[in-house]
Amino acid sequence: MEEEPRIGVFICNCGINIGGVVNVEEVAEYATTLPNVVVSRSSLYTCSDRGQGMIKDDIDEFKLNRVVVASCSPRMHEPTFRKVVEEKGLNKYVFEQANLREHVSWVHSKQPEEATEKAKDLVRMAVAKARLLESLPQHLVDVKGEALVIGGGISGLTAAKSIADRGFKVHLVEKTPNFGGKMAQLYKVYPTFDDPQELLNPLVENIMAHPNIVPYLSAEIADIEGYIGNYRAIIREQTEEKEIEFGTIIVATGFNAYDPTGEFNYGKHQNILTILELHQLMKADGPTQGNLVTPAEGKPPRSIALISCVGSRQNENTVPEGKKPNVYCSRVCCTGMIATSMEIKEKASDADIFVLYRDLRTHGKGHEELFSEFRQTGSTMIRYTDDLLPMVSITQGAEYPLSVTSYDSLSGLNVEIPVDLVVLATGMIPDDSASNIASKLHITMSADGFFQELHPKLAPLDSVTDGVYLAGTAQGPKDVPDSVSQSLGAAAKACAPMALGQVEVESTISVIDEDFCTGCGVCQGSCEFSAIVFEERPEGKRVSKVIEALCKGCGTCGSSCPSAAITMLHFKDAQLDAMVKAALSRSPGG
Amino acid sequence: MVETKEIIKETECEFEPKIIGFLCNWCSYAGADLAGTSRVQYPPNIRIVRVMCTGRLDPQLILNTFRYGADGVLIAGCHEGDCHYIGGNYRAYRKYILLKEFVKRMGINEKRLRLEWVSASEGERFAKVVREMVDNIKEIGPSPFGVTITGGVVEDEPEPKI
Ligand code: FES
Repeated sequence: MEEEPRIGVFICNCGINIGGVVNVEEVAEYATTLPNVVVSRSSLYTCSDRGQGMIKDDIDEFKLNRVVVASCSPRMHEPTFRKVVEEKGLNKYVFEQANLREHVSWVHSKQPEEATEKAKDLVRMAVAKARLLESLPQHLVDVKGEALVIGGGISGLTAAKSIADRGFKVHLVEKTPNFGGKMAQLYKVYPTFDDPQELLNPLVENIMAHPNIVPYLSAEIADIEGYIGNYRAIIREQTEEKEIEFGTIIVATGFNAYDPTGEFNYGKHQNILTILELHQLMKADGPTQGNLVTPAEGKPPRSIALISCVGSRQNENTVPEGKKPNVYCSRVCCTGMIATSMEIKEKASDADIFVLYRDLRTHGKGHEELFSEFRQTGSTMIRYTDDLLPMVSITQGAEYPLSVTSYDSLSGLNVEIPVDLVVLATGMIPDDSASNIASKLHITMSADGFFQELHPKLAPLDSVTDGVYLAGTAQGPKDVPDSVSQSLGAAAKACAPMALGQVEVESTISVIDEDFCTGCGVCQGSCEFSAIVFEERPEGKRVSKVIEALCKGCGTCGSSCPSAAITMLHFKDAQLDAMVKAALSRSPGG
Repeated sequence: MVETKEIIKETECEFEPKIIGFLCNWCSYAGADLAGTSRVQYPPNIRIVRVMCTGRLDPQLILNTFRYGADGVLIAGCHEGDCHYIGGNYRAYRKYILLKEFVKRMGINEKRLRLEWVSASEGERFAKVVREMVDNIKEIGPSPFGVTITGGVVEDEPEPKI
């Protein structure tokens, strides 16, 4: 028989984040009136050392066997507080969290009274569930000491090498015939003006020769399944298929350049290029051996216009019909554009350069310094506005083949510039493979289409799936140094479970009561993970059984069982029912 | 008839619907969190119960929620194809279709039950859904089962015989 619940309730002010709206003292006071609550306190930051110490002391002093913390989202600090109760010898599943910040104070910030009442309700609900919480057995799974890295650009290469250097085997899968990704297509990288090949070549050589790395080129992942520690995939390399097993995954699928077709007359005249196309033109191994000439005439350009924010920071008015605006900033184009204009100046010193920009955002180490240098080069700056984009027109029979018109908010004038070449500083969009990868790995994408990190501030390298980590521009626009840092971080994250050899997985799985099971098999049909199988019982009865390691804990089988024989641990019918009942019962005095 | 008067008073000027929201952990709960982080404001009428997946939702639980007096029930999960557990949301959808029919026959206005797909990046949309639900239910009025469970807390009432 379970012992009588002794619940401690800890309400967090979160500085003024909660306390500035919700009357935390009143809620703490109220919690003492709830059944089985033996102590209730508030603190400034419950997640701080002091706050955690308070919980631990109270577990000792009041012999608590359940802990409720009412603070931020459990998606943020549930692991923190579970650890606190574990350190005191309690099972981590006797912890329950109420969300008074994201779901109360931040969304009802002008209604302190209602917010306080809602906070009481949420605490009452959490206590109701806490009364019914149970300790669950710990589940450990073995982690295979091999990793899969998807994408062979600078991020994937960096991550692969970093993991391999630590002694783990890495499968590095690249869909194109070459490693190096988008970085290899650039003429120079900034603000250092390095030749990307010089940076990439030693890395690629190292990768190809590395005893721990198996490279796959022109390859794709035909199939993938499993869970942290135990993944299995089929890699299709040209016509061959190979099955591999591994424990962790790094997603480094990178970005694609925004396609400006339909904007600025792109695609209608050879002399209108994206910045990536210009870079390819300027490369020593490019079509003109690095000579900068206009594609249409093959002559050195006399006048060039560069336009920023193409495909970035769009709004409903500036995006072509039928396209969804990319509202984000691509973060690399401003520096890329001014540095490229400096390169152009090198190659065509007589040319007039016009930089049409909206705001220049040269953040990053050494970028502002580069901007200062750029200002000495004598290029003309023209600032256009959010809603009035520059227009590029093709002139017939005029001296210059193209003409750019724009409103310049610096001078307040409309300007018209005859040019030979137009360069569009296009932004980043997610790689085409992103949505496919997302659905295969059950990871999510944010509104911009890039992969979503588990937490924007505290877990930027984790995806929502355990064992799957994010690196580089697959997660959002960033430059080479940022991509490399993130990849090294993701590699370290991927190595942690592999180094431990075992990880604890959630114990919140389904269990089937064999006595109630009629062996109808409906649950098996509802399980997406084939985690339920039939088992013959000695007395000849056929029952369903959950394979624990395969169960992901969604609970779908439980809600499908016609005999109510399935219990979804930690989200049991009775627990959810108690929460609902508590939410709808009138609070004493409320 | 003090009660009737009170109810009328409540209905006319200060009926504040109580809505229970069952949100899946991976998309919609995260979306509701994002509404918070983005400081989007919405009416304080909803009480959120976190489940791992909408697939978990037992029709019995939804019906109980109405029986306990909820004025509205929101089920929110991942968009089609995005369920963290592949197809839990589709299964939730099937049950929802049946439940809609069922609650109607129980005499509950079907507008009280709503299912929405809200992704982790749709904080603003989550707020909008709550706003709309509150407005709609204010129009319909309190739930016919709207007797708040007696005084005190979670007083256990006898379970109905199935
Ligand atoms: S996890 Fe969101 S609906 Fe299944």
